[in-house]
Amino acid sequence: MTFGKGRTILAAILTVIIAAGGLLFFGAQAVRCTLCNEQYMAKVFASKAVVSKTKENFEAQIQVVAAKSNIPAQVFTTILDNNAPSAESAVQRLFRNNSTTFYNEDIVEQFENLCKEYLDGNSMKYSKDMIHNTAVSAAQAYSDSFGIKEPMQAKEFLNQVKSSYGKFSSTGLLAIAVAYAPLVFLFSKKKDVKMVTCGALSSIGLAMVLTGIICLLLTVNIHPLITPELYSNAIVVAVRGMLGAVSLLGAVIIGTSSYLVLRVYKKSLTIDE
Amino acid sequence: MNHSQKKFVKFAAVIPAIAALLATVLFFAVFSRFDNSFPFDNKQSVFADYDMEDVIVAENAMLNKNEIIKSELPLITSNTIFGKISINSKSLELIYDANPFNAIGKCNVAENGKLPGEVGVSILSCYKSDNLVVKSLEAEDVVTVDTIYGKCEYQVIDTYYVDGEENIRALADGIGRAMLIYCDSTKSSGISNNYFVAVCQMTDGVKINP
Repeated sequence: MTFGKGRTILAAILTVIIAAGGLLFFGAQAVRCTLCNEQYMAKVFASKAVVSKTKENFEAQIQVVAAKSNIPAQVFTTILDNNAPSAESAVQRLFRNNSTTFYNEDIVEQFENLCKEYLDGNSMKYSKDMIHNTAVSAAQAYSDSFGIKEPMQAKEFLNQVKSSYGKFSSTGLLAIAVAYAPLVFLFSKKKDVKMVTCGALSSIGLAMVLTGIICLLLTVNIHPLITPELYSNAIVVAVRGMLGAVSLLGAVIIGTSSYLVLRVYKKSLTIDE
Repeated sequence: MNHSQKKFVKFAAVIPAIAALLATVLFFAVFSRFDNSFPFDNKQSVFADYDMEDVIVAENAMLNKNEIIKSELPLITSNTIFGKISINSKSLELIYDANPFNAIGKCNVAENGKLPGEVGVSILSCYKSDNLVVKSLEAEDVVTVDTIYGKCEYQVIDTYYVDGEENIRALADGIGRAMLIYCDSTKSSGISNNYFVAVCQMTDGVKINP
């Protein structure tokens, strides 16, 4: 094996390590900035589709409470004038490790007051216990519609990822640093060093684009087992957003490195001339 | 291609492309260890448990028999309207195992009971908004149930006021082909835990045998 062939093989191995390290680093950053980012996830869950569906579900559940209690549904839905909950709020609570259900004594009391206001206003007699039962049912409907009932798996996932992405980021950066130093030493000429540096950048960008696109294709028929479907769809949208961001960033990196490498090449051509 | 150009193509294009491919393959090889984590694992995660399902209207089975074997019946699934119940010239649609929303304005046949006409107890309920229909029942009144598999007639044996839904079923003990129709017993607004129950026994119509 000649020095040239040996250098080529070594350069290839080191470039693979750099590409893998870059993928790890940027992938971890992408997850951190999207799936594990409160603002991003709150925005996804505040989409028109999710908001209108949760409100629709609340109104449907309130109709059941109205049918069971003989108190008009509009009495209960006026609570939305005072409180503006949304799936976005539940997601924010998830990230802040607060309770993601909206069922509490305060909401029950609000519903009780709304019912009593209506009944007193219409001079109707009522039993306090029965109105309390009604308020409890309405509060349950409110929490079911706007809260997240079983957030444990999501919380565990978030905690796991939060504790891991630092490690993945550092490992990625370390891999890049460890592989880049010997790669540079393989070449004595400055233009060759610039060329392999741009080549390594391109490999990171290309790996990100390939991984992002393949993952996007794999999510076409994916349906997380999350009920109701609107939350499952929101999570798929969030994941696709993240993968799209990774692919876009990869494309930007490829574009930048291609531009730089062409500059180096053109400069080397003029020097050769 | 001169040496400089070959070197450029090799180190700036070919090697990065191959490296990117290999890094991608490595990523998927490692990632397959993590693809069983939330949210893509196969574990059900319930963020909210309301279900909005469409109501199905069952077609007439055209059985035209007085006695039917259960296996001859068409499959009646949840949220299916399969007949109507007539009480003192008022009628309500009969729906099987409806979710709470679909049960509004209808008489819901519980999934843990039998179908009208079957041996055992058929448990029917309706909401307070329709309780006047049910509460008008008295002993010896006749309740007619018209279903896709035929007509049944039940006669009210007695009526009760019961605390707690869990105490309703026992009222039909000892009655073959029984029907329990119940609703919130109170007139005033609000949800109570007291139920008006009409205990009925089948007197005529299509019988479903096991």
